[in-house]
Amino acid sequence: MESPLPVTEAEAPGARRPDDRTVRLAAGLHRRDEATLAELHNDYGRAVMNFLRGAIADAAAAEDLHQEIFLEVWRRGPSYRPERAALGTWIMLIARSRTIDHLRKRVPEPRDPSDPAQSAVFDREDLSASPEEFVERWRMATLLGRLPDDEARLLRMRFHEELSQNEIAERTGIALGTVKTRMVRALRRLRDMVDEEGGR
Amino acid sequence: MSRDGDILDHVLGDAGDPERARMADLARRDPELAAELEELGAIAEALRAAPAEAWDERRVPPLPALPVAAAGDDPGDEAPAGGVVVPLRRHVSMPRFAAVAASLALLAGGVGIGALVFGGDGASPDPSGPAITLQSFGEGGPGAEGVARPISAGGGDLVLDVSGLAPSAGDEFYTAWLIDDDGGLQALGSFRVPEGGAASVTLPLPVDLEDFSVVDVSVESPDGDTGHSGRSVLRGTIGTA
Repeated sequence: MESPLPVTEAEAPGARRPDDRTVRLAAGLHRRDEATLAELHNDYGRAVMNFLRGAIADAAAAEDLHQEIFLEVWRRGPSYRPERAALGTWIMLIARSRTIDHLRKRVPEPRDPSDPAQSAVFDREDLSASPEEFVERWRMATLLGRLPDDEARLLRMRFHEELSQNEIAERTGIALGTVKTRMVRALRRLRDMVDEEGGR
Repeated sequence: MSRDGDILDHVLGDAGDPERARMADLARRDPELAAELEELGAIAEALRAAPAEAWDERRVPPLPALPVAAAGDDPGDEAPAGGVVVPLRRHVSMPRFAAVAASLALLAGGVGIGALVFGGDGASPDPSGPAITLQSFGEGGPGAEGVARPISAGGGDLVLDVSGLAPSAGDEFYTAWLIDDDGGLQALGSFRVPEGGAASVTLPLPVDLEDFSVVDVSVESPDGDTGHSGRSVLRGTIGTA
């Protein structure tokens, strides 16, 4: 197998140029640095867990799978190639693959997806979509985990709970002007993360 | 209101008509502002499109206990977690081109499309990546053959055409795998093979093929075991089409 590091510019056409954070974390993965895994767990653990809980009804099984996924991230770390995919993309694809394996294990009989009555296992949009569609669908979720908690919470109130800016200010007790400042700062952070990943 | 407040209102769609017109006028004269409105607007749109569960605040399980590596271990030598090590055996050399041609002829006539069980959509887009020739292996019969082609070299889907396989019996099904140099396995998807023994399926390819050395097809029973059954019927070496 080809060694993933060091990263050079002599990559395949279309290869992405990883940002400094990704290069640093990839190097940590390559040398099996536990602090690197802890940082990835902190940044992407919630996105992975939220995906798992949406795909797997059994909470205990989802928690077990979450740990298996991060163990696989650690074990496969030396083969991660930052010029191929963003870290969030790579981790979410591992999560998707392990979830498909898990669901396959839970179903006692093979099913024919051409028969709607038998295709329940892939009713989940995340699992029936192509890997590219899946990654795009979960992209913002992987980035939200890297935001400061206070900023992520404001975005959650707005985009998930659909509160107005005034309602957010009332609920949090934060001045409206500060809510605006933090929200626009959060949007800019997300924009910069997307830029770093080379995806916009 | 502050400029950032105006930008936020515009991006979130909270600005009234006069404010929107004023911001549009400013953006016409300020390319940087125009670019920022577009960029932040795209972020806001992506946030609106995020799956509802992406916003959940459930407890995140702690990190797992990590295996202790022996001093001097090469980090690249360990098999991936969850991978079942299947010792690679020597390939069985079999004649193959006639059966593949017969398989393609059947597919062209609308016969022999495998019923996909797990892992893909069964469609057959035009493959564009390098072909991987699969030969009979293990329990595969003398006419068992196949070809696997990635849709794109960097990932995406894998189109798998097989022929000469035993039609799926009872509840059994076939599973396609990737095997790396350490014996680690990546399941790609499962399918059934109809009468005639040929099938064509498209499977998601969520990994880089270059990280693996072998494509394997096995017979699996619905016994609840997600591991490889050890009953391989086809294998092909990646990169030696």
